[in-house]
Amino acid sequence: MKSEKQKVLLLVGSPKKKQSASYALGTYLLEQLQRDRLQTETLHIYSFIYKNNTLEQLYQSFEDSDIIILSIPLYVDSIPSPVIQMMEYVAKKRVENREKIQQFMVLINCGFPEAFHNYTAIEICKCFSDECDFKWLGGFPLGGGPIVNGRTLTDVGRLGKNARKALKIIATSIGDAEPIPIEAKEIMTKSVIPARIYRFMGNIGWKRQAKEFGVKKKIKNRPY
Amino acid sequence: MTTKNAAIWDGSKPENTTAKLIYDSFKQALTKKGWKTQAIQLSEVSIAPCQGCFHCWIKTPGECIYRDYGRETTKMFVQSDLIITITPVTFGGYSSILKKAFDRIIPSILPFFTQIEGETHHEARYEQHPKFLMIGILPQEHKLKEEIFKKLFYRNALNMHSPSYNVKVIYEDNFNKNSADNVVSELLQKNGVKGNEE
Repeated sequence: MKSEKQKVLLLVGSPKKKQSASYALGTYLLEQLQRDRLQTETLHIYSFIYKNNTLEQLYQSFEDSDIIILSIPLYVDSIPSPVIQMMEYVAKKRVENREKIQQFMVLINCGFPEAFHNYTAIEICKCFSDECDFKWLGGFPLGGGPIVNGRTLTDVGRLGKNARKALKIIATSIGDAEPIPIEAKEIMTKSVIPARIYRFMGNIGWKRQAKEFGVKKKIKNRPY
Repeated sequence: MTTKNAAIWDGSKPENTTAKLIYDSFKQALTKKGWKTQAIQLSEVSIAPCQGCFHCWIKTPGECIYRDYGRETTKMFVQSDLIITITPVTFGGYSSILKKAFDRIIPSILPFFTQIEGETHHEARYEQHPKFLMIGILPQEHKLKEEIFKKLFYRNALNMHSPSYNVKVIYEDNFNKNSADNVVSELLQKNGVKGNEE
């Protein structure tokens, strides 16, 4: 690490905030980084969207940071609208002042078992990064994000092993100010559960949850 | 003779004159063809961000628990024969204004996973799905952003089980009413959008 006082900002882009897989992934990465004595901050984007004009407050942390880690869920094949709103705001601000060298990366997780569903969203994030003249550190996709929800990446045990391994590689590279090797992405995208088993277990899970709310027989309702 | 329903969603800011030209041109063209058209400026309606609670799948199946315009846009999406969406191409994707409506569309599909062409997707809730047209607006040509935009659209069309779909990216340079009418005419023809009497 070149400087002792580098600031890393984790931006969590899930409405579930601390209960989200996005938070679990991002905080695990921060924990690996903190060993290098970085100054870190975690903000939840959704906390700044519901109120008027507080993207300015978020941006104050953003523009002070040397490394920005965006950790988000995949919504409808891309980025949740509040996160896009933040990106639109940041891009507009960076037009005014792009003196500070900042590094940017994204962790993105989806509810489908296959990590590739996240790829287009990563391309959008890179486009944003380029437009803002950030140094792009990479985009790292995870399939089966709901496996993590509400727990830490350590607590999920074997189910989180690939993600943990990939995040450690990412943390080491950032700490050494080296490019993140392609290996990190390859490891993260490796499924821990075969897709057909994930689908089967997932569908059982949806029925169980619907039963808990007393609507199992109505799950295929067509209200419109 | 059944009247066809169309929905036009403009996901641009009020000052985007190019988007307004296309929006107005679609409205006129479809009205002339005898279609019943609901045209919405998404910047003017209140749609809260999706909370990711999945209650639209497991508690109030098919309907979002939030009682705002997000319910209306989902209903429009389900009940339309044709949906047309307009957006500035934003980092290669959709604007936050358009995306807030799309994020709230998931009540229109089922939670259950299925396999389509080797990939996991969600099962359809309804039997009928609208034809889907997307118009993206760029200040000038930008091949990379266009490529990402089209990829995103095709992924959406697949997930939304659209029977037919088309995307066009236009450039603001020298774009006028004539240009808008030509684009609209081309897209409607390409997608077999006919008048009620045709």
